[in-house]
Amino acid sequence: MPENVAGKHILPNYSKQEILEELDRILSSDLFSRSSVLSNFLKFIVEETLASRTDSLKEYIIAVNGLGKSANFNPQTNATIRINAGRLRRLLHTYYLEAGMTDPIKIEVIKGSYVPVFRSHIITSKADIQGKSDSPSNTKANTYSRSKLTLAILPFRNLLPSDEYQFFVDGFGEELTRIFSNSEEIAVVAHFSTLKYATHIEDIRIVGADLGVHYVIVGSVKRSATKIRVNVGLVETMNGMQIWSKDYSHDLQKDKTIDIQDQINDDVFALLSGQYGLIINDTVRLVGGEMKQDLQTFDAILWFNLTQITHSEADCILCRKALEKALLKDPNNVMCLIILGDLNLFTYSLGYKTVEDPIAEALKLLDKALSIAPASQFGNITRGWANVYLGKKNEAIEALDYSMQLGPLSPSIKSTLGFAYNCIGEYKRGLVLLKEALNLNPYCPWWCYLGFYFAYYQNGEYEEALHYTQKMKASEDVYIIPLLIAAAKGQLGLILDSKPEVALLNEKFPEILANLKLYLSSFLLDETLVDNIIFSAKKTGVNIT
Amino acid sequence: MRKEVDSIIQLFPDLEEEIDDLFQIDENFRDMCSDYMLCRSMVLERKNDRNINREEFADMEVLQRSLEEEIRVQLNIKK
Repeated sequence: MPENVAGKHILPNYSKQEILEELDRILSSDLFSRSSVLSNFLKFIVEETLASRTDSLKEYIIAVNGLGKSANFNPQTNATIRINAGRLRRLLHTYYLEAGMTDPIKIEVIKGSYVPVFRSHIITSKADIQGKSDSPSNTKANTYSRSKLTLAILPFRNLLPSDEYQFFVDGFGEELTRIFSNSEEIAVVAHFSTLKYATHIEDIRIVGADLGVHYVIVGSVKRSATKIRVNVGLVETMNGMQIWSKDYSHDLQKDKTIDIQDQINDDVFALLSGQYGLIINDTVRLVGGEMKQDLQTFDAILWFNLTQITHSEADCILCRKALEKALLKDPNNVMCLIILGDLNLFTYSLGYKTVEDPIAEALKLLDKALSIAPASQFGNITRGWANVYLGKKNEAIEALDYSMQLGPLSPSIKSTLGFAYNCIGEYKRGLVLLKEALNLNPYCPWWCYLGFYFAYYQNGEYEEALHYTQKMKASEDVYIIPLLIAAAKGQLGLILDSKPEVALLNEKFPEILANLKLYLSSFLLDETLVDNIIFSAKKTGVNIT
Repeated sequence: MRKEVDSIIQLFPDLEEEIDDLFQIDENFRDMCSDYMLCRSMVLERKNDRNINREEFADMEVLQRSLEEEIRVQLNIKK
C-alpha cells in the first residue's frame, strides 16, 4: 500500500511515535492487560497500519500473523476474528470512557473494517471534563470561551416496543433544534450533527466536548396501553450533571401526535430559553462566585444576564466594562451592541452613573446593531424601549409590535414586552403578556412584578399592587421598590406602616428624590400614573421636592 | 431479533426485563448478543464434528465464555 493511503488514517498533527505511545498506554491499562487476544489484535492492526500495510488487514492475515493461529485457519467457517473485532471495538470504547479519558489521541476500530482510525481526542485533560483545574483562570477559559451559550438537542431515545411511533420520537430533536435556533441568547448545534448519537451512546461530557456545547437536551419516549410518556432532561456537559427534567404524559391518540409534540416542545422552550430560563439561570449561578471579578475571561453577555436579575449598580458597571471590552475586540457584535444600548437606558432610569448622554448613546448602538441584523427580536424590543425614553409612544408601540413577529415568544420576551407595554400605558396588553409569561415560567425577575404593579396601581387596585411589591427582590441600590411600596401604602392609608421605606428613601436616595419626576417619566409614559405615585409617596413623608 | 433476545434470556432467565431494555436501546449490547449467538453456533457445530480441531474448538469455547461474561457485566450495570 502506498504511504499516502496509510497516511489517511494518521492524524496530520500526530507522529507515528505519538500513536505508538497511545497504543502503549492502551495496552498497559488494566482493561487490556486482562486480554492477551485483544491486546495482540490491536497491536497488530495498529502496527500494520503505521507500516502502510493496511492491505494485509484481512481476517486470515490477522488470525495467522497477528494472533498466531495455524496456517489452515479458514475465515469462511471460523468467525472468531470478526467476533474479536467487535469485542475490541467495545473494549476501546470503554477504555476511552475510563482510563483513556484524558488521552490526546483516540484509536478506534470502525465497524466493517479492520483498519484502525486515529482521531484527535477532543477532551484534552481530565480537568476539562471535571471542570476542575489547578489554575482558576484555565477553568474559566475552558468554560466560557464562547460569546454565546451553546446547546445541542440529542436524538430522543425510542423506548417503545415497535417502530410505529418512530416519526414522533425523531420529531423532537428536529423541532426543538428549529425552535431553539430562533433564540438570540443560545446558539444551537444543527440537528444533523447530533444524529450520530441516536445509535452511538456516549458519555455526555464527551458529547459536549465533541459538539462544543455547554448544554444538551436529552429525552426518551415510552408508552403504556393508553398513555404516551415523554421524558425531557437538560444536562450540563462540563460535569455531566442533569440539572432539570420533566415527564410529560398524554393520552395515546395517533392523530394527535403532532399536537402533543408541539405542546411539549413549546413548554420545553418556555422553561429553558430566554434571559431567565433555566439554561441562563444555571449559568449565572455557576459564574456568580469566584469568576465574578475576572473580566479577562468573563462573558459580557452573561454579565448582562446577571444584571437583569440583580440590577445592582456594581454589576451594571462591571457589565458595561465587559461589554465595552468585548466590542473593542468585535465592534460588530450585534448582541453586545444591543445589550449595551439597553444597559444605557435602564441604568439611566435607575439613577446610576452612566455615559454622558445615555439615550443618544443607546440609539447610536441600536442603529448600528439593527443595520447589521434588522430582524433581531431583542434589537427591536430595545429600539422600542429607546422610543419610550424619547417619549415617542407610537414609535415605541410600532417597534414592540414588530418584534413580536420576529421570533418565538419565550417567557422572557413576553415579560419584557408586557413590562414595556405597561410602562407605555397599554395596560391591557401588558397584563395579558405578563400573565402568560408567569404561567410559562414562574421564575421571573423582579421587574416583571413591577409591570403588574403599574397595571394594578393605575386601576386603583392598591392592595393588589402592594402585593406585587413583596415579590420584587433586587439590589438595595434600586430606589423604585421602596418608592412603590410607600406609594401603595400611602394610597391605602398605611402611613405609619410606610415608615421604613420612607426612612430608606430619604436617607439613601435624596438626589433621585430631587429629580423624581424626571427619573420616573424617563420610562413611564402615563403622566397620571407618575403624578399619582409621587403624590401618594409625598403623603407618606417621602421628601420629594 | 426476537430469537436472539430469547436465547440471551435463556442464558440469564432472571434478567429478562434488563435484556429487553438493553436490546432496545443499546447497539453495543445487540452486537454483543449477535456475536454470542454466532460463537455459540460455531461451538455447537464443532461438537458434532468428528474431525474437530481441538485447539480451535478450545479457543471458541474460551471466546464464548468471554462473551457470556461481557453480557453479564452489561446486565449487572443495567440492574
